[in-house]
Amino acid sequence: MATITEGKVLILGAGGPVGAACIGALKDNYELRVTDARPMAEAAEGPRQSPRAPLPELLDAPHENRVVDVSDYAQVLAAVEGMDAVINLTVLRPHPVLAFHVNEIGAYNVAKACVACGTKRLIHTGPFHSGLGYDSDWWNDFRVGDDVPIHPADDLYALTKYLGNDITRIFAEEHGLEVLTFLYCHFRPREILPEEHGKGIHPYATSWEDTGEGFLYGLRAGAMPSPYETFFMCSRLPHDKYRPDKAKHLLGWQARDSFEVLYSR
Amino acid sequence: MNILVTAADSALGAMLCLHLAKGHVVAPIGRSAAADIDGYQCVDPVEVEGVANALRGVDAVVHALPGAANLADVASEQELLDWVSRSTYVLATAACAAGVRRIVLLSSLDLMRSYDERFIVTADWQPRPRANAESLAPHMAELIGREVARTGKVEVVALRLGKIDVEVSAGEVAEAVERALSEPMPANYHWQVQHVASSGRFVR
Repeated sequence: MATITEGKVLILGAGGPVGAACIGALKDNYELRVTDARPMAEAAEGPRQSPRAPLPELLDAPHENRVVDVSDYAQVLAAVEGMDAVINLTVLRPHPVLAFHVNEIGAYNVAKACVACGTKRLIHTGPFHSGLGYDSDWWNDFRVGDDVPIHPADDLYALTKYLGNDITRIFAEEHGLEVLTFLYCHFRPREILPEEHGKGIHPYATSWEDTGEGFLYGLRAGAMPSPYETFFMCSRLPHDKYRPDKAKHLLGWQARDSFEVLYSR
Repeated sequence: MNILVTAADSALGAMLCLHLAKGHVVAPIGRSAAADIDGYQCVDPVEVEGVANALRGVDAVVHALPGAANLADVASEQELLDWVSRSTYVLATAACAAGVRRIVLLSSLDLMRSYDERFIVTADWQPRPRANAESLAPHMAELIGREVARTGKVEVVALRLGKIDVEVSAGEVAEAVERALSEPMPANYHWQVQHVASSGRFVR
């Protein structure tokens, strides 16, 4: 069983707001090796990805901060060595070359390094693009579950992350590496401002705070039914478009935020 | 038909260029500076502008690179994966923009070899690539081709080739490509996979 209740955890791509949430949730429970393509001190200074998105806290010892380019296998391997678990938050959206290097080749490097180092558990992350503006996306469906095949079409970001997911799956199934893939779509702060009341919410939404806690549950969860499991990591909302049931059943995680005042009169 | 052929500087691409030139106008491209093929141009298919220029007036593309590329062509396994994946994306999206009708994407039956040897494996079975770059590269190309085809802007036919001279002859591969360029697609679909092997456990 790959349950990780203590020990060393590597976070890749920790400089963004998901990294900030992840650091906040794990720093008191694990010894973290916090990495990003730029120095964490720089990431901690901002600017924020969006006006209310969290910034990563710059941690002191026993934690470690390190610059890691996920497209460089030697750097990834060195970062993974000695870790009990790895969390891959790296992402690059619009660049026609780097999107492949980070989202696809980066996923390859991380999975390969985890196999080489005997890492117990890898939490991989990516987007669930609910709407991509074409008829084969999942925007017009309801009761969509965690294991539905992603249809990224020709969207560069969605497609390259999809390739990374599939590479990770193939490594997991061939080598028995335990991979939990967390999918996200729309993030927002837990705090709801008075002017937001009744303004509605994206049907696949997660608070930054719930996002961070999800990683704690992901590390602590018991054995998975198969080496590769995908999870919708979002609030259960009354739209009933996207159902995060697996996270509740297998991780024991359920988003605390229901955002009710956003869709109530 | 005006046909762009990628990896024309490989043995597979060169063979296809020679065959297709008998009945079509062929535009061969590749990453090598030069190749002994009529009309060859040095255009790496990851280069957006070069590919867009090469696609002018083209009716169909034979993307031979995913079926031809191997580790000997590149400096690292990461480069192989990137080259095959990104070239397929650049080519497929540029083909959509240029109004190209169809892409024939050459892949490999190696994607299906993990199945029990007793099984007769058709193109409807799930690909099972190995966790290494050489095996993953054609699989990534297939996923990209399928996803771009899902937009309905271009038709993509993936041909998973058996081992040439073992499971299939070079002539049979050329004939399969010729057929894939013109055969009607299954009704309303823009994506199709076919196995190309004249012997063994893999059938179309």
